[in-house]
Amino acid sequence: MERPMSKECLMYKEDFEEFLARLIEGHSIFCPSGEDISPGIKKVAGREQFALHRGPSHFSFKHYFLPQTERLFSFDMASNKIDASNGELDDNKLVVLIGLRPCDAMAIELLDQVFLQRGPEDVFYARRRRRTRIISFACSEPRTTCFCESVGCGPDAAASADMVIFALKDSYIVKTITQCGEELLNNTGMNLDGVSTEKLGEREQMINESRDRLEKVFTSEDLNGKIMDFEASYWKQICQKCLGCGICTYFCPTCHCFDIVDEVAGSKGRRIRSWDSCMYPLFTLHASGHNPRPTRKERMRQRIMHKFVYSMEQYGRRFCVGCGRCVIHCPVNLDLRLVIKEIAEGK
Amino acid sequence: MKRVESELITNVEELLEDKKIGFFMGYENGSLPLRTSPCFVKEKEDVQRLVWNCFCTNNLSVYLVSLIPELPAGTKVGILCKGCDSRSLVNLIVEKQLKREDVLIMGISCSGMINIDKLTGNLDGGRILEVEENEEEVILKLDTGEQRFSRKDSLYESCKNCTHPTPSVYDILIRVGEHAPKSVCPDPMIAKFRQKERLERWQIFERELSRCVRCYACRNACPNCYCKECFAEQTKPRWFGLSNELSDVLFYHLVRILHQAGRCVDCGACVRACPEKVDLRLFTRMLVDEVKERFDYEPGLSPNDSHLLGVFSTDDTQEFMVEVD
Repeated sequence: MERPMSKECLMYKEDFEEFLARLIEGHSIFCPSGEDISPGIKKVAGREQFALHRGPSHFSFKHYFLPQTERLFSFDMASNKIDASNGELDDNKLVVLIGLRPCDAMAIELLDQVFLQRGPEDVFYARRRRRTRIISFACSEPRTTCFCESVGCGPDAAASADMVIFALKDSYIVKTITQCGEELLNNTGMNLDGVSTEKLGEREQMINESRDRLEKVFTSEDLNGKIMDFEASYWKQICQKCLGCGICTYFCPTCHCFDIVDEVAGSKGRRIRSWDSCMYPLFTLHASGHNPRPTRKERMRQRIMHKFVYSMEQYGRRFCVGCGRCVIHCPVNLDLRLVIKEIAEGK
Repeated sequence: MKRVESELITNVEELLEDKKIGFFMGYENGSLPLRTSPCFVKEKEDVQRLVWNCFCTNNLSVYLVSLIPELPAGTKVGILCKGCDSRSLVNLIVEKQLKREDVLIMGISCSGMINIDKLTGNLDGGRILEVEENEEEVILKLDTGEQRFSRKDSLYESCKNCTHPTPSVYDILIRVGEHAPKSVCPDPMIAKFRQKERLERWQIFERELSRCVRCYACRNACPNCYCKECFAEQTKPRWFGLSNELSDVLFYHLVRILHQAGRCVDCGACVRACPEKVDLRLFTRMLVDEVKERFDYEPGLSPNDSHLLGVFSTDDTQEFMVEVD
């Protein structure tokens, strides 16, 4: 969104602690919730509430930009009044998202395509997005379910981040990517040194090791090769054990479909939008009763082709960042990576 | 486990060869450590993929109602059933969703399934290279060393309270140890929950259900949830809102769970499918215990059973209809 200007400096553990403390003091900070049971993205009130996860966090940052349920406005038909005020969004204070992995930072870049860059802007998304700064952490320990490199992301990808932090053994390299990122760093008033060649070497080694640990069930060549075929017989095969739940779409950081309804009681009501999933039968059910995607075959084909084919036609990007959440949570272990591999091998 | 697996594979090979079945549902190794995945076998050469271990958690009966009409008419489906899975299947027969002659039940007496989360909680990033299991323990071989887990302590809650580890109905039985039926005892955790004050029960209810993301995995993993059109997806009328606010989430779960009375076999499939680990058994197991207590009924034990809510007996307790002080 703005001119890139990359700059790197070094933080030792105590600098990093100071940096965090100053960030928390001066900004509204959000980070992914831990492996615990509290849902979504949480506000960080103190240092102890910030922790890094191995690989991507439980929920993606989609929860922040596109809440599962959002009231668009309320209305009263008796008095002909509409109330579009939004307590959270009317406050334009800067928000800092911290602790994302590169995959999630890339997912935000993709959501930007949908909600900001092509077609009309989504005002709710835009207001959240514009007041937000993103600090991502390069990935040193991917999980067995991670496959970011296969889809053109990677453990050190910056994507939408304003600042990327590389956590080394006893220090941190802070790389500001955008002017906003640089301002954010300057605002903390930290006095930091540049990065020595030795530290740069340590970083390179960390990223290389991280790359080596990444699963390569399929490669980007597999995606470039055989184009997914709408009419192919394999869809019937692939969907066989799918239960038809919405886990893969709801945990996906780039899936962004929603439904809008009016909830009315008497003369008063509200218009809300809530996440929807192409895996649900209601998703494409027409008022006539006809459903163009009547079975799981058509629904699964839609999900996969939307991510890997239609999004290429629409945005020139694949809408998968390799975070592996769909792989982790699928109740029948229907692994997207294997599905792509099978399609590429023409099974 | 190797003996069980080879018995399973030999059985399925013979059944396919003799054309006694045209399709078999079992488990294969998953793409992730400690995971299996449902495995559908049609050809003899695929039979070798079948496995049996303490991670065969899916209740395969969930596929039957939609799968059978899609197969060529007269195809008999073989299905690997643990105790709970067989009871789900029997319940489908009782509810006339399935014909007994359409399935060949390969029962397996089950020692309980292992809750993966109890194993992976403390691995400190160690990678699992190999898994071994015996009657007492599950042993994980990691790149950082070996970790041993007591089988008994690592079971899913539903498995800890299992009353019918051996299938209630089967055509072929693979025996793994002796697993005689036990009588239903109230689940101690649920009994404890019931003793709590109303407000505390509500808070637990709220804590559990507020995590729900409405992915409907609990419904879709449940063999009892076979409705062609679920009330959750009806729009004329729409029974509840679309939001993930507690009132809507609560409505969905209460209605789904109440429809399980006298039908739920406590297989735990809903809990295992839930990505948010909502303890749905708090509600469903309560029904199991109540149904046993009030009507002395356990669903899924015989295809000739009458459906609990489909019959009226003069002996039935009347408290539901008449308020008793």
